[in-house]
Amino acid sequence: MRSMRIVGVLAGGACALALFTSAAEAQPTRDMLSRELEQNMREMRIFLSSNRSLAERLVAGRAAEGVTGVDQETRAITLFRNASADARLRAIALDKLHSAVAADAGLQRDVASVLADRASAAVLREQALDVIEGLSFARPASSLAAGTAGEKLLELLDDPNPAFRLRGMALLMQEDNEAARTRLGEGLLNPTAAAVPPPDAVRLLGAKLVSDVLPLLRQMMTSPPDQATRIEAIRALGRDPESREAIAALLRDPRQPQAVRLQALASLDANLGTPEFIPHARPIVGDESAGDSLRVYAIQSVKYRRGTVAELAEDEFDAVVRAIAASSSASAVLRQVARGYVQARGL
Amino acid sequence: MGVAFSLTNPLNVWKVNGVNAIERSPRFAPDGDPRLKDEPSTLAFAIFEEFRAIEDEPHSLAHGRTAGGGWLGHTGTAVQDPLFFLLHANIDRLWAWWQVEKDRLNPASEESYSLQGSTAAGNCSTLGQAALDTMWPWNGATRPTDRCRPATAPGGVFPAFAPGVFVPPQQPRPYDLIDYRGGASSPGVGGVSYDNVPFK
Repeated sequence: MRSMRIVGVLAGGACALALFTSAAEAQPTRDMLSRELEQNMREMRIFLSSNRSLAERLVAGRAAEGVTGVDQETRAITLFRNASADARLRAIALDKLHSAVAADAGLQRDVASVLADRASAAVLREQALDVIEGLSFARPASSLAAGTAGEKLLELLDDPNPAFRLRGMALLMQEDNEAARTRLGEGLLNPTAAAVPPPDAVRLLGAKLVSDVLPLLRQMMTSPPDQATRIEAIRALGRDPESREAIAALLRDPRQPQAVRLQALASLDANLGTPEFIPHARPIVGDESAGDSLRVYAIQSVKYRRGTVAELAEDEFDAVVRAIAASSSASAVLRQVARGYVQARGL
Repeated sequence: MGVAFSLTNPLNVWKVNGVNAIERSPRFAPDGDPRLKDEPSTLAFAIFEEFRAIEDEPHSLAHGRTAGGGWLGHTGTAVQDPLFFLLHANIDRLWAWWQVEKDRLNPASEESYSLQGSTAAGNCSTLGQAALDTMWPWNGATRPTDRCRPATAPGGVFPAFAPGVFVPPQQPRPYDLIDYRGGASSPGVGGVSYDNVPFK
C-alpha cells in the first residue's frame, strides 16, 4: 500500500507536536519509502519507454507519482513537446512537470500555447490549464497574467468550452485584469455575449468590491436573471454599507425563498458587530415559520460570537433560545443546537 | 458559491473579510487522487537546493488543485480557507521529515539550507528568506523605513514558551529554525517534531 498522499494527510490533520518515533520504528518506514520510490521509478521508466505499448504506458504513467531525477524530467519534457505523440501521453507527461514548468519560462510559453490551441486535444489543454492554475499561486501577475500566459488566458474567454472560459476568467480576475472585469460586466448586461454564467460573473466581480461594479451588483440583487445570481449579489454586497438595509429587508421578507433569506442573514453576519447583528438574528430565531436552516444559522452564529463564558447577563436572545431548547415542537436539530447554545452560555 | 456544510457544522457559519462560506472547488473527487508528488518522491531529494522544489510541488500545486479557482488558489485569499493551515502544517512536516532522513539539520550548511548569508539591501523579492535575515513581523520592520516591508508589523516580538522548551529568538531568522528539534543550538532542551517523523 502506498504511503499517504499529501491531501490525504491534510484531511487527517497529522501535525501533532513533540511525539517522537524511535529509530527502531523508523526503519520499516524507510524500507516502505524505498520500495515505493523504486516502484515509482519503474512506472516512470515504462511510461517514458517508446518500446512499450500505448496501453502499458498510459497505465504506468497514471500510476506514477512523478519524475525522479534530471534524466526522467528531461525525457518527460521531450514527450510533452512532441506534437506527434499521443495527446494522452503528452498530458500525463505534463502532469509530472509542474516544478519544471515553474522554473522554466520557455516551458511556460509552451504550456500556454497548448492551452490556447483549440485544435489540441481537450485532455492536453485541460492539463495545461491545471498546471497554470497551480503556478498562479506562487507566481502571480509578473509571469502569468501579465505575460504570455496572460494573453492566452484572455483568448480562453472566447473558447467554445464553458469550463475553460470560467477557469480562465477566474485566473484573470485573481490578478485584477481590467479586460476580464469589463467582459464580466458586459456579459451581465448582455447575456448573449457572456463568457461565464451570471452567478459566476457576480461572484468574480464581487470578490473585490470596487465602486465601479457596485451599481451593477445592486441591480443583480434587485433584478437578477435567476436566484443563484441574486444570492451571489447579496453575498458580495454585504460589504457595502449602502446595501445593508436592502439585504435586511430580504431577510425579513417571508415571501423570499429560504436560500435568499439565508444568504441575507449570512451577509449581515459577516459584516456586523454582535450588537448590530442580534437585532436581525433574534426575530428569525423566534419565528417558527422561518425554517430550520435560518434559525439554526442564527443561533450558531451568536453562540460563536459570544464564546463559551457567560460574561453577559441573560438577554432576550438567550430567552428565545432557551425556550426552543425546552420545546417539544421544535425539530430535533433545532433543539440540539439550542441546547448547545444554552450549555455554552451557562444559562 | 461556497462549500456547503451540514447545519450543525461550525464551518456552516464561517465568514472572513465580510464574506461568508468558503470558496473552494477541488479538481479531484473527495476520495479521488489529487495527483501530487507523494512522500517517497519528495523525501528522495538529496540537498536543499533540490528539495526546495517542493514549494512548487506539492505546495503550490496543492493550493491550486484544492482551490479550483477558490480562495486557496491565490496568495491574497488563501489564508481565508481553514484548509490553508492543514496544508502548510503538512509541508512543514515533509520538510522536517526530509531533514531527519538526509541529516540536514545544520543551519550553516548549504546542503541543509542553500540561501546562506543575508539578503542584499533593496532586494525585496528574497528579503526574509536568507539564513541570517530577520523575519517580519517579529522584527518590527515597516515602511517607509524599510521599503520592502508592509506598513505595519502586528503582534510584536516572537513569544516566549514555557521554560525548558526550545524557542527561537525574539527576532528569529531562518538560521534559527533549521534545527527545529533544538539539538545543536540548545543542547538538552526539547524542541518539536511530528508524530510520524523518525527521531534518531
